Amino acid sequence: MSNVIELHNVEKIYNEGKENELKVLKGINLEIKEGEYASIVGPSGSGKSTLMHIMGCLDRPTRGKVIIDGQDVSKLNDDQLAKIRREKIGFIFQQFYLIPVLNALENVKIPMNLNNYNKNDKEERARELLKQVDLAHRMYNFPNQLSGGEMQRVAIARALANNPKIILADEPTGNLDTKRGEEIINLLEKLNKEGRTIIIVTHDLNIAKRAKRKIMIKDGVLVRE
Amino acid sequence: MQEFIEIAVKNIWRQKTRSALTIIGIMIGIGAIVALGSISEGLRVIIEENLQQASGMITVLQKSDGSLFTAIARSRITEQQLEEISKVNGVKDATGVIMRGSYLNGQGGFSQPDLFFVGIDPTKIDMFVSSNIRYDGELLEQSDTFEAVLGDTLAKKLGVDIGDIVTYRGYEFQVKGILERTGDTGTDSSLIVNIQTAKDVLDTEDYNMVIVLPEDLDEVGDVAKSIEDSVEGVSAITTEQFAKQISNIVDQISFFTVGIAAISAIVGGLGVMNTMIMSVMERRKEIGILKAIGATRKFILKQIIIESALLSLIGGLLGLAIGQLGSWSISYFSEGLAFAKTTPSLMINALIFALALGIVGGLYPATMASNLDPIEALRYE
Repeated sequence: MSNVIELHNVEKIYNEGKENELKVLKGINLEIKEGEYASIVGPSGSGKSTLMHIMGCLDRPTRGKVIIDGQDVSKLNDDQLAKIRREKIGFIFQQFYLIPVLNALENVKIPMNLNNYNKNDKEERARELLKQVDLAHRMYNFPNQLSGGEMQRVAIARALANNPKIILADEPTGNLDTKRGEEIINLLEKLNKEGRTIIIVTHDLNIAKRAKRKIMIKDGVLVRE
Repeated sequence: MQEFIEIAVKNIWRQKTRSALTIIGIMIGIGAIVALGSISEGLRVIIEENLQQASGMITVLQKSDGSLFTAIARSRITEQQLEEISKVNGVKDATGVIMRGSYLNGQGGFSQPDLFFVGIDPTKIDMFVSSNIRYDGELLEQSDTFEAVLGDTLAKKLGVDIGDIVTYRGYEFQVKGILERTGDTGTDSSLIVNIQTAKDVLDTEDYNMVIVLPEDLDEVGDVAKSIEDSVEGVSAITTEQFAKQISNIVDQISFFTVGIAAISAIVGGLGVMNTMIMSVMERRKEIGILKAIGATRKFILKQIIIESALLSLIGGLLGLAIGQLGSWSISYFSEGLAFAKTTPSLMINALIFALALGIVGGLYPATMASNLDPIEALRYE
């Protein structure tokens, strides 16, 4: 299996050269293969959010190289990074981050709108994705009419919209009770079985343990796998 | 594009009161542009109609320092001057005209008179009104004394028809003919009688003006100059000069009125900008989400500008409706004294202006939104 994510000596330094210089990532080397199910754990302030931002092309490293699906993205501009995010990565956030004025179906369609899908295809695919996450009956509900678990399932459907190779989930169960959290993890595991690369960032060791590969970060370095 | 508009509508609808107030701001500005603009457009239409009617004629008035309008009322031309004018080279025909404005309700004030008592040689009436004018009844004859021809507006105001009697300064005139509406306020409000009768009624031998028909229509300007050179104390104005003077005045009027209205529309545009800035601030997080899941700067830019343009366009369309309404009421309540007309070009320009305000007003908030860093924006609660 080829690598979908490669990090080579990645450093992230804020305010470099100034008095308040802050080294958040200190030379990270990491390879994630296609179809892997990995978790990244670490205490708060360990640099795991920054690591996830860099893997998700939301941020650039100060030094080092980031390769996503064979493409070096370390030097790309904002719009080029946006294209990578749109096509290769599906994001799932702790706070779900749905657009409140759009219903479930419309939320799922957003990434396809960004990718210029044909109108009918979009509609059909969005319905199909919502069925996959068991929300066929909630398509026309707005986020404020959905429970936390339902919102996160809409977010998962949205993350899948452009059929990305990588799913990056940042504390996906952080705002959910144990039962709903369990459902979300089961769903992510199902997606992994279908061949998608899943990376879960979490501080919850129970969730982290379920992943086939556990990556631990502390003070900006990977301490143990 | 359709999705952009759908989302824009939803976002505008989200803050109903704020959006409505913003739209009203644009509506008032554009409405004012259309209503005030229609007054100058109306004036222009009247001038153009008069020009076609009086094309090629020269109007001779007593020389004066005053403006054109006061000049006609005060001007006196003697019989002798009329004879001299007739003899100037290039003059084919010249006829003296007496013209007195007065007010039907007996009051003066600053408004335009609504009755013009006109005396003219019956055989040369077509030098005053156009030769192809249509009328009911008959025009004047040489032998007529207390017979009169009325303009359409005046006849309607007095409620008279052919054969009825009209009283002016205690004299009774029998209506012989009624001219069809020409669009020229002067002609439409005139009471035309035989020049001799007019002289008797007003107890004068002088004319207010002389209308000159040149031999060669292409040499109107030269003939006018010859008249001024050879007859003392008169100024000869050609239709073109007349038109130019009036059109200058109209331009100034429209510059000021439409200019002031445009300022109010620009203030409305600032309102749009303000609303969009607030909207972007409130939606920072959503914009951050969109960027995080792959929206480019251009996508965000487009979304915000479409929203801003849509706000402004709705205001503009409502403004057109309000302006049209205003234009009608100006015509209606002034009872024919002011004629307001909304032309397609006025409407289109006003709408383009509204759209431009929306786009320009949206540029700054849109740039602001498109430059948001997704990580920063998502952290914002």
